[in-house]
Amino acid sequence: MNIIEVRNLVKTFENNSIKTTVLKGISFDMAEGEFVAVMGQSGSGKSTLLYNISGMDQMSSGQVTIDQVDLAGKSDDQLAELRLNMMGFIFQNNYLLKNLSLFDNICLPGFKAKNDSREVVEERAQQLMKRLNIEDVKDSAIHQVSGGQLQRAAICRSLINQPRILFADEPTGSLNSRNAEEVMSIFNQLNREGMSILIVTHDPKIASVTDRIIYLKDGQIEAQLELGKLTESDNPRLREEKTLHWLIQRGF
Amino acid sequence: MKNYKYSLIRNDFVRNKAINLTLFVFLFISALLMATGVLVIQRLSGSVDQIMDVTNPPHFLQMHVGEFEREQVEDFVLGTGLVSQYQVQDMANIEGIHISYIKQDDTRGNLADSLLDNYFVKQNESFDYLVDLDNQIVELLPGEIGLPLIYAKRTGIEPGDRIVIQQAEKVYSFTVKTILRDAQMGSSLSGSIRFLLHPMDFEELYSHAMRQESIIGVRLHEEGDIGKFESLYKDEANKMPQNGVSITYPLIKLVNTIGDGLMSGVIIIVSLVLIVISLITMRFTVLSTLEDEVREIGVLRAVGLRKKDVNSLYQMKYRIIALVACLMAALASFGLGKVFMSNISLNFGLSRATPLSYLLPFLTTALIYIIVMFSLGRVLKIVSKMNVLSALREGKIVRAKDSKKQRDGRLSRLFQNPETSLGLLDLRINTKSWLVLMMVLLLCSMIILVPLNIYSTLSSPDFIRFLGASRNDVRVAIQYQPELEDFVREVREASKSDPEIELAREYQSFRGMAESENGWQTLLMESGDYSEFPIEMASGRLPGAADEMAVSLLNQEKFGLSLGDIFPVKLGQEIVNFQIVGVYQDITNGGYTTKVVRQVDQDILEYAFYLNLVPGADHSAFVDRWSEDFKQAKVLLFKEMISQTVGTITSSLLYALSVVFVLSLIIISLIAVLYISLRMYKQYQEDATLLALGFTKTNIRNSYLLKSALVIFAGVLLGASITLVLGEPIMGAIFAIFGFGITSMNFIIEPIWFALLGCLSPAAIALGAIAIMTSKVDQVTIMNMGNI
Repeated sequence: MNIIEVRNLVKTFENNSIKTTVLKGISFDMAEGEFVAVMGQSGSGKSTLLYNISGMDQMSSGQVTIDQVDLAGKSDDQLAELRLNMMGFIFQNNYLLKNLSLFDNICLPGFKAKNDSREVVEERAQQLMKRLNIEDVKDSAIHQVSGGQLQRAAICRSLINQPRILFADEPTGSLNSRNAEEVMSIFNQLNREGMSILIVTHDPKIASVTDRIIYLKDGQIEAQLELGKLTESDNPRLREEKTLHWLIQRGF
Repeated sequence: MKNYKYSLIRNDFVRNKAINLTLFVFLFISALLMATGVLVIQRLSGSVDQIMDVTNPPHFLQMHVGEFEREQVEDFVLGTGLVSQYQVQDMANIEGIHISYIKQDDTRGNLADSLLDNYFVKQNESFDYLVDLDNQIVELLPGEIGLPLIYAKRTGIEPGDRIVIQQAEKVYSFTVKTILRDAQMGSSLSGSIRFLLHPMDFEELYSHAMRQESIIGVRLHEEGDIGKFESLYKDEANKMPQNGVSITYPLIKLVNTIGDGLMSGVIIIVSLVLIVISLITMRFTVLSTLEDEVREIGVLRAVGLRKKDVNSLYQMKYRIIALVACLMAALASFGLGKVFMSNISLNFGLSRATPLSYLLPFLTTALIYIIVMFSLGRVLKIVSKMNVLSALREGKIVRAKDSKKQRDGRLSRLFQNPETSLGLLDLRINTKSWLVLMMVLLLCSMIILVPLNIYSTLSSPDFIRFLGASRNDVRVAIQYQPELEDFVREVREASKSDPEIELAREYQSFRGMAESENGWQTLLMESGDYSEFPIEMASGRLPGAADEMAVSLLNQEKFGLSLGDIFPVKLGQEIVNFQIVGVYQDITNGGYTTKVVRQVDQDILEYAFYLNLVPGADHSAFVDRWSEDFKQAKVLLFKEMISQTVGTITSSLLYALSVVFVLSLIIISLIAVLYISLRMYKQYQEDATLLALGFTKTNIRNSYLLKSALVIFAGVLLGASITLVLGEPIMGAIFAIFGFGITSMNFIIEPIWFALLGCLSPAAIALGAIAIMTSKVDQVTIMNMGNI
């Protein structure tokens, strides 16, 4: 079953009456449990695609359905509801709220959703922090911890409402290579547990651990690379080389 | 470097248009008000001086009813060696009911409603002149009359209209030739007013007047000798005529100045508050801008600019804003000044503008400019403390101090909605920033409430209780006149038998003599039953027994009395030892009065009947009926009396209050818009994050509204509380300075207006402005997060 279906998605920006079409009729599907990377050169429309699919930005035309729900015609509040309960978001900059401790940052969407009692939300937040190895900085303010710890906290926050799909926009962009690898291994783990993940990245190494790569050029899908699920027996280097080779062919 | 500086400033003006414009408007309004207030006071003082110079009012005057030995008075007065000029002006006192007017369009009316004593006089020869609206001494032809300005304003009578006077079966008709300014009696506070006639007409009217009075007036060689002369004149040993009030030059000047002076005072106080608000706002905007531009400043420093250069870069922008605002305000103050001075111009004739009049607004605004730049210099000191490294790396001016509040940043579990908790947390962590909004609301509600309270106090019927008289429905006053006793008896009978009267009490004013350090002095006394018509006491109580007395504050000071003292007073030949049982404040009769319950066998100066009418009675109809039945008495609705007595002050005050109210609301809305825009700008990233996490735009808007509402109501309530606590002592002090016989002032508050104008309006305007601005939350997009 497809968790995301995109049909002929167009996005045009207007600035001082100059119109720029960033996405020019994108169509693709993403199956439940799939791990997909979107790549392309700067300005190719990667992030715009992600924000339009997740309903954070309004598409100019086309159709997007998430888990059979058509986003067209949904009000702001209905879209917010969808984001709260069904989607998780991770950004390049963690965008944690500076007034809150790491723990409260993580709990916040859980308190908002009210799907579970506060105790249950807090217990889940504890477990997530433990799993991502940041429980020792639980009560720290955000300026007291490292960039890697912040990004992990952002991941915990995105998972607090147990979303069906995780959107990540350059989640490792501001991390060093060790932290980036750790974050990707967490993603892989989550994906193995059944979570669908759509990630925007410009890092071939990161993209090589996903199931499929969608390559955007000038607002259109130029090509897709099926890598298949990463298994224990896979040689990561080979996947990486294959990805790189494919990308070079695309002029990346 | 220079070009770089100017392009940076130019860019800042373009980018932060709204903020810079708001700041400019603020500085402009505060500088404008301050300059206008100062200008009005300067021109007011010049105008009052000018009319005093032209009309030359007496340094000391004694009103007197009845005959007196003129030669003896002249000998005494000139014999003191203090007097340069002396004159007696005879006056025909005519009741308002006998003075009718016929306008050229045949509109008719009379002056029965007027509380003022109407004196008809001829022009003086030596001093105390009556002048026209060009401040020229008026000379009339037979058949012409000069009409007091106060009546021209009240009734709209113009030159060419006719005044008809009925006196002792005779009817006199005059054509209004000119409108008169009267420095001595021009104000409604003085209680009397003069009409001018040709000497021939005057002699005719005077000879038939039912009530003849005189003003014994002197000009002294030295103004400083007024007190000395007054003491000599009032010394019983000198037996000078004293059947009436005496007034001195400073009081004449004060009475002329108080209305417009109070208005100017309010404007200046408001402008001071505005300057404080401007400084707070500027500090807030500067700090906010600095925070946003820390990295840029870091870069500037890193590429080699000195701290001084960066400082001057920032100062330059504000210097330009402040300079332009102050200059424009100085220029605009001439225009606004004209509006405020229209009343002064009519009352006194505007004095010729001196070079100082032109310079003063510029000097005032220059002072404001200096204050602004000084305060800016202090705020910008923070740039000197900047650590270049943390500016570049962390975007912070100084290394983060690990705010304790931030470390404790736990989301309150008390509230069901996390947005409520987030809002409250923001208030707790950014208290200093939110205090700006609170302070503005606090100050604005205060500058509305203080004048509002003064206004509601002055115009309240209860106010009179603080002024030595009690509240009633109708007051009937009968002054000395032929066959007084019979007439009073008639009124007394009517007051008992009239079915519309529920309660009537009679009071008699008379004179006693009391010993002070300057010898035996006249003491004005009032006798009657005060149980039904009590007055407000400053201390002690009203007299209840025949040998008890309450004295006014000024008498208490004059005779050095305390509660419980025995105070010997000579009533005729008898000396009565009164015990002082209470002290009250009073502005009637110059503030020197006493109250007793003892019935005396003295010459009565005035009989007063206080009447309360039965519920449902038509008060105006009653007054009309009684005025007709008792033509020699002054029958007045109590409310009318108040409005006529303090009318000059309240109308100026109401004008200032309206200006202050409108200005405050403009300021509040501007600040609210500026403040919330800056906050939303700073919060943009967090708001976008919350949207991404699944919060709705309504959630975010509500969070802003909640925070703002709490801060706004706290500000307004604090402002109201401070006004309630500190307003009265401040006003009391101001009145004490004026020497009006009032040292403590109890505000009489109109709760509805207090809440509506001083609390709800500011709060509603602020919240409304914020609600409109928070609709911008709709424009928050996660897409732009990285650019903020």
